[in-house]
Amino acid sequence: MNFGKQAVLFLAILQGALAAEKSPVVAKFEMLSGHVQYRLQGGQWKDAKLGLALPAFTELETGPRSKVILVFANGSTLALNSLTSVMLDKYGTGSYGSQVVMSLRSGRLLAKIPKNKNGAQRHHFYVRTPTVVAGVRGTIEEISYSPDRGSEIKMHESGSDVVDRNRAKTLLPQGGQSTANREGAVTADKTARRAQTSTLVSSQVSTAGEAEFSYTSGDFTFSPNSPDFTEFLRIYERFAQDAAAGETLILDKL
Amino acid sequence: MKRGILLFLLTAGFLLAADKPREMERYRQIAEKPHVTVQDMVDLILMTRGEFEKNHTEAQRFQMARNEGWVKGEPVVLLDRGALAYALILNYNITRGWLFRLTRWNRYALRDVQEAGVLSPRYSAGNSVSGAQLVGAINAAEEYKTEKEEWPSRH
Repeated sequence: MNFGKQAVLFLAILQGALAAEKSPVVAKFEMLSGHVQYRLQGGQWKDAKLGLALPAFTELETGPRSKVILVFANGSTLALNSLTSVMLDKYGTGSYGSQVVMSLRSGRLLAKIPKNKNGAQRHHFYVRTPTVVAGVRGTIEEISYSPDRGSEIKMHESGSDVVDRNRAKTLLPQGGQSTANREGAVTADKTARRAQTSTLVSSQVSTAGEAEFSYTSGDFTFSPNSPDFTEFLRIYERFAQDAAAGETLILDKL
Repeated sequence: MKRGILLFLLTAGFLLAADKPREMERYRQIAEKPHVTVQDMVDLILMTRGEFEKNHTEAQRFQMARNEGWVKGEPVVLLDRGALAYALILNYNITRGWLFRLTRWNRYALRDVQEAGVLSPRYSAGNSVSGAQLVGAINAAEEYKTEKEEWPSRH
């Protein structure tokens, strides 16, 4: 092999290696606070640094008392709270605009997606949790997931579509909140109805339990726990009976 | 003399830097466990309070929690929801019910923590806790505490 061929081969190998090394930048760290780490496609965990470029398939974890803000190439901003674990699954651009797909494994994030001035294009931003897929379109949305509470989605600006694990699609309006866990999804209208429902104390329209609950629910000193209050009254009555009979109260019998 | 000071500063810097990954490694180890122990809960709560690095050994951290009165029993015991609720109620100022105030039992602590929306009401005091559930519970307790503290300024 002559020198020319060797040089061409070397350049071809070098170009291939550089192409493999260089993957498109999806996001950058804009603000860091506390312990934040990332890893690329199952590699070693590394400490995050300001301005560091992240490609797709990057996993991010924030530790206790930590916070991070990421800026995407399309101008979207993502804030991760402490004890949050996410993965940047996909980033793509085209004639449709741009698309970001993320997985939220645990914790809470706040996504701010800019509105696209071009009517034909849109910034699509999807966040997957183990129970829902939330699509964010030109809005500010807060999404959280924990095994106990399931997924909670809150809209701070504009609206969103929410698809739960049964593929049921519901609209989440501005200011609304929706929850999805293993029992199913509580849609925004049901959440709002529950929040706006107040129990009036009246012996005609309320049951004894509802009346007790409404008496204690505004009190921050004691838990608004209705069965707790009922059980306390039961213990008190029993103690009063035992005291009257001259006996000692035995808590194990309760 | 100058070399000695430089060496001391470099060593101190290295030790301080080494603590950060140690905390994250321990956090990740806890989060991935299928069943966590009481020691894991103590470590995670101290991390959120910023006191994990102040106590270098597990024994020191457990003793600190025991002195403050929010853990009972042994560190190697599997954590159940009752013990978790007891620790959360004391660390995150969750509103306490009458029966918890009177008895200090785990079952009443769990009921108050469930009433506050921090833990799911589907479980009882004897159920064990996974790492992901522990992380989620501590996150929820922190949010509850922040919301409660900010309530007067927002209303």
